[in-house]
Amino acid sequence: MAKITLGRYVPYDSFIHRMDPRNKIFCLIALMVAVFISYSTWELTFIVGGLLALFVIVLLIVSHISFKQLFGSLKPLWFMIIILLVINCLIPPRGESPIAFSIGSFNVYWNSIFQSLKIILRLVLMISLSMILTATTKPLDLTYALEWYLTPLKIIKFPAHEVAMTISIALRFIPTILTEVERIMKAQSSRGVDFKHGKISTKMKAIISLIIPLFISAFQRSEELADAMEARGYDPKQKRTRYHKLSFHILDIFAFLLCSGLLGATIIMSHYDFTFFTPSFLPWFVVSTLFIVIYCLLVGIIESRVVS
Amino acid sequence: MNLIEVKNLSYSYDGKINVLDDVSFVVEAGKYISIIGHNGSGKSTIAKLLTCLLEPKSGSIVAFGLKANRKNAREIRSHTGIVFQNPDNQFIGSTVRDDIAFGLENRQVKHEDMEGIIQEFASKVNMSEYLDKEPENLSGGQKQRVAIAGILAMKPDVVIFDEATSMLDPKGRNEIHETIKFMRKENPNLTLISITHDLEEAFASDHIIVLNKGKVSFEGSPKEVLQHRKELEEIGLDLPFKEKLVSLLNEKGFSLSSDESLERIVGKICQ
Repeated sequence: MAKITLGRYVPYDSFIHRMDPRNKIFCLIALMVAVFISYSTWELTFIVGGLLALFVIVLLIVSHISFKQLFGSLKPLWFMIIILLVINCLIPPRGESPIAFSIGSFNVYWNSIFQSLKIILRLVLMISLSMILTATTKPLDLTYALEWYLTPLKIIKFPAHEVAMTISIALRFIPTILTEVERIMKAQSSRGVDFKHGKISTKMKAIISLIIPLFISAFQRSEELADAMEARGYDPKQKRTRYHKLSFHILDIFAFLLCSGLLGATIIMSHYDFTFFTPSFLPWFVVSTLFIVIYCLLVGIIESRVVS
Repeated sequence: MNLIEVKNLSYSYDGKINVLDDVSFVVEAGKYISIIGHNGSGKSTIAKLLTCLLEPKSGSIVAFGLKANRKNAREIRSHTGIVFQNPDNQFIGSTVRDDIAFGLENRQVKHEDMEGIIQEFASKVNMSEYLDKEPENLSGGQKQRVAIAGILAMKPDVVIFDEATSMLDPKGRNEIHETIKFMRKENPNLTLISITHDLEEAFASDHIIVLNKGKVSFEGSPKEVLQHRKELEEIGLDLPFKEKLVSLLNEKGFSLSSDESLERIVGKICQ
């Protein structure tokens, strides 16, 4: 079975590994938004983009992600990047733009080249950022963080705990089910099913012979698992204590301030550019900041009530 | 003292065929009891009924002074732990640590106490070095030992083994047998109910209940059960190797007893 390299958790003891997963998710989103903010001039776009790229590279080094692994996960994207480049160059840009070069009577403009470079930069940064998150955080911790973010939705009867429990069980069973797939494939191959050759229709038939036993065993598993959980006293409606406690450290505060500062700086830069955001943006900015603060307070209140 | 009393218990999944038919037995505190039977004898159904995963249709189970039903399920489960057959399908946490913690979280054990309890019970089943391992990196026997640790950590009065060794290799099986021995030695008050079709395993217990087609065929101490050699073979249960050897040799004119060790028997034959 091919190993899933993209975003696989790599155990290491770095500052980013030790960060609170809730904070990590927040910082990731903040940085992603910062990456996606536009500026009026290309100079500014690429200076800020370059700085952010530098920052991401530092993060990659700190979290000990090998660049080889990163390029490996970018591989499927090369094709998309080339297509993006070609299409962007074929479409003439809106407004005035100097001509970069001409092929026969067809002109390629600088704006189109910059535009596609910008998109590529954003894509690569976004993938690197999400990779930093998943490579430095255990899937289970991510689930706990997700649960924390979903807690306020309990007010509208959203089953936050159940969803988190389901995700964590799904994560736990991925390797088990993969082994099962391998075993069923071997068993069916030994009975003459060919998964690799033949027409699409015969391949589909072969896949059915894999999927049906897989589903049957998955249902059996879930039934037995439910019994085991119930026998060990699990009741989703009942209060549970927690073995894993997420905790916010001083370094987390630093990271939180740094990332929100970066986001704020890019927003302000772009705001005084008057391109992406209209002047009426400022009140919205204040309102959304207030919203985030209220949200965090609400989470804090509910969390303390659930625990106590 | 009778911890569990089963009286005239019958159960049917489809309303037509009785998987259990008028079964009665008692489980005394501190005893190690085996329920043996061939496939389809209803022995796994008993395990589910005893842990309130199923509700008796007719007859009654009284455990710890409580009638087994939905209402008392939580109370009864707080006294009972069960180890299931498939090692993979009862591993709930993503690591050994988390799996032992799962039951403690349900039991609302304080966060501060959990780490110590996990360490203590992992060392009891010799899994201390594997605390951060994921289930896919553990053998079947190790996973079953984690399940036992998870259950012991909840401090039950009764532990039920529902064919806990049937999916294991001989090495894993031995590991579980050793763990059971250790559990008995460490806590003589712990009651064990082992549901199995392996007579060899059953002969290590104090009392054996033989089930056939949903009915109790006979019960008694291992020695008493051995008197029913013919019936056991008819049911399809294989006698332990030593018993079989001794009985066949006795037919040939030897006078051996199965209480002796295999070495002494060999010595006697060679005389």
